[in-house]
Amino acid sequence: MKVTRLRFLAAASCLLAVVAGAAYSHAATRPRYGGTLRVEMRAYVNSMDPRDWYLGTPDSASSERLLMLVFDRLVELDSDGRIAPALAIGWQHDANFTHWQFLLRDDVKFHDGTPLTASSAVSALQAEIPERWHIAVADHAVAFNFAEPHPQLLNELVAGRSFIFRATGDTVIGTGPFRIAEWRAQQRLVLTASDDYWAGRPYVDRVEIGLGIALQQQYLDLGKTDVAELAPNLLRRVEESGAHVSVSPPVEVWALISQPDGRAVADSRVVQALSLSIDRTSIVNVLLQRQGEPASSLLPQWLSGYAFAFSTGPDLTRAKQLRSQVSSSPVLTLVYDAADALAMQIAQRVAVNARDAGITITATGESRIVDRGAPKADLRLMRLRLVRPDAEQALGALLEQVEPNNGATPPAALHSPQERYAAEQAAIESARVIPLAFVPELYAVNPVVKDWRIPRWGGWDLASVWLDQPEVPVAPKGNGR
Amino acid sequence: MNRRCFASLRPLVFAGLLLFSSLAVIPAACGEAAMTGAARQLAQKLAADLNAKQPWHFEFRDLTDSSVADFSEARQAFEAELTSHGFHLVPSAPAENSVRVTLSKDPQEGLWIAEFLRDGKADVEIVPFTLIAMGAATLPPPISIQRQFVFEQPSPLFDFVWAGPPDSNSPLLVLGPAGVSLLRYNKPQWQLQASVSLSQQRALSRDAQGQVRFSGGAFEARIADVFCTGTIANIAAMQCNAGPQNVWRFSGADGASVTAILTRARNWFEWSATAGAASDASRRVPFFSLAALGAGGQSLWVASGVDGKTRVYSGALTDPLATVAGWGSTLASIHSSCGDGWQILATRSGDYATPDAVQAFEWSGKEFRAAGAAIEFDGPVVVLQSDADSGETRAVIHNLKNGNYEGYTLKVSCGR
Repeated sequence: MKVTRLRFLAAASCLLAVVAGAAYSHAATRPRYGGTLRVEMRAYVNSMDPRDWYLGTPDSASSERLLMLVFDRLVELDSDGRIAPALAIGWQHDANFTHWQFLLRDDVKFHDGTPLTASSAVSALQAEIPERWHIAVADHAVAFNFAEPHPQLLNELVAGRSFIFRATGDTVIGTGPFRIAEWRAQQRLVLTASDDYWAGRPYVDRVEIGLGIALQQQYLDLGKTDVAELAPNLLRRVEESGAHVSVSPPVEVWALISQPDGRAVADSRVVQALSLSIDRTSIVNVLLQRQGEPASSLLPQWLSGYAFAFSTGPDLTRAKQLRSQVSSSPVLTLVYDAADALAMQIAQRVAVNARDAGITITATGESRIVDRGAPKADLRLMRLRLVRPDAEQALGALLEQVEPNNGATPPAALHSPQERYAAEQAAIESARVIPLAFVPELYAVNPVVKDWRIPRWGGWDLASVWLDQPEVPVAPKGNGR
Repeated sequence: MNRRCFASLRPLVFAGLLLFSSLAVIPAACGEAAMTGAARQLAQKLAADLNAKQPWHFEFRDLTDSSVADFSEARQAFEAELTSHGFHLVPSAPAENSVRVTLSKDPQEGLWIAEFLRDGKADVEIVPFTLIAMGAATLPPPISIQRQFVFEQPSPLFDFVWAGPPDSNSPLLVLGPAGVSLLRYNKPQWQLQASVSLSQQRALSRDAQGQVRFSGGAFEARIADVFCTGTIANIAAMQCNAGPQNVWRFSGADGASVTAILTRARNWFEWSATAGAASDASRRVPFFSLAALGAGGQSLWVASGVDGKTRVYSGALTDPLATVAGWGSTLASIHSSCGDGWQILATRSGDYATPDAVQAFEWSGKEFRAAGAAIEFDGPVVVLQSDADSGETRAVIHNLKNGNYEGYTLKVSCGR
């Protein structure tokens, strides 16, 4: 998109107006209630039905983030990534981890007023969990029974498709902090605060989320929105305008994924040569404006502690040697998200680097609205997201996305750093994945938005966000007076 | 130097979960430096991997914030272990006889990592160990507020109080969203002795407030509209009543008191019609916190309004005597031997996503003046509770660095 100087000036003026307004607002520490929070997202989210959610789709992380505003799980992660009670107030298991029981919180209601029961929780979970799991109602608790020890159950219930919901026909109703007021797939989601939310009513009354909005457009919308995703190349401009910039630790990894039926995987030496040809430092410094780190591993250094042991520097000599060992190298097709300007730039840079090693790559954009089997690609440029600030869980999910196992073979043990290092090394040596760069989540945040915090693994906590508004609040009805 | 070992969370089991799943209360002095033991273990692994008959060069580096002394001690232990296995260490060697040893860490633990070539191919050995966080040196601050760290826990904390003299020989009563717990200090850490649920009929505010008080073996606890009484001898027998109104009583410096109503499922109080002149109650701005002051023989109320302004009222609660801008909305008074005997401890303006500070202010008769430098915390101050009996103020900090809720007592020292 070509952006005129006039439009940039308009956006910057709006930002300055916001900042100037903030200077006159009243600073305070304790949160205030009320107001509408306006958020824009690049992701196209197709459904607000937990049953439609799948790990590994381009927008799965964004989709999960929205679902978590409406639906709860039995357990959740606290702000530091520790497992904490949610709809289950507690749990127990036997010594072998074959029998688990989760005691449900009292007085939780779905958004239609129906009480949460163990039966409704079991019904929801049965639709979402693997068929081999046996779950049952046990008074006001949910019981899980396994034939084999299942010590990882908490980690499985805190993520993925384990939302609790009540389905009535095509409608699904949650117990989460917000209820859906308006939903237009891929366009707009409007939420209102759930007054009876068990963890306390959210501070804002309403959240309006625009979907499928390009980063450049989000920048131009900054004067009229409260939270916008930021492209790295716009970060400095936003900072100079006075808006708040919120940056997470590196929580995503840009990577090239070899496609199962692609030509790249036919000879791993081609992929290895390609990996050795890529100048990751240039990608980070130039294309990502230093908002990230070069990546030659799947987990970033802050999470693994050993990422430095994977070399990130290009080795063109070795790349050419490997390339020369392959009699005929095909022209590889690298597919990227056509709506993501940054993805296009990275793909093109990879193609240029590859050419230096004698590998020909055709970079091709594809529609963001994924047709899961349509595009024929040898390599796909993807953003892989860390699901948790826990090295074992995060690596397990990344490996599942790099090479879906579908339960065919037992996953590699990832308990110790040594095991995780070995698993990462095996994935990279097998040429299934070429990591490129670790990147953070970047947001421009209106100064009236308070308590905006990004957890260590990225994400939102919109129920805890409040707006610094000068109005004296009005007590809700039925205040007991 | 203050060191704390941060234990990783263990799987929760029923006994510990229902109320206090996260009440793994922490401060613990570490024993033998785990870092050094792990370095020795790494050396043993390398002794099995490498050929001791060849000379080896080891390059060390530290990617953590460990002290130079600790790192040096671990390195010496590493080298001594290798030497005991017959290795000859040299200052330089070709790449195939060089090993890079790195002290690193992930969020859970410290890591010793050795990188070397095995059959011409890069290989690593990794040994994890319990992470030791290096605390800041605790020099006495040249300011009038002194803080004493009491304990910390991962879950939210509304209030705490010593059930006896304020030292680690006394048990500690702790109030959180789920209920009351009794902790005892069993060196080197606080341990849960008993707990009791404080069941809520209604959802709490996300920014709920609570209080716990102790006197003569009995305690009172309150969260929102639930008021409980019990004894530490049998806290399981605690009795609770949910009142029809969220009326809270605030004690004044002159023995008078005012009442205010905590708005249901919210975090602010509205003035009761019986507080001061009834006709003024509806005109007064609702408040987040209220402190009483007896400065210069004058009884004052200081209220942090929901509009971000702090107002000073006379004891009669008529029109404000003064308005203060720039304070945060959590404040408390403290009775001391300094100045005219009363100070306000005020937080800094900001939100819960930013570090906070507490500063003492004194009333001049017309305005509040800073009585010393602010003390900084690693997160927002979410609770300040005056304790008339001890002359101290209890503070709860949500530490943004580690996510824990930390309890402190604050005292004004007069700089003596």
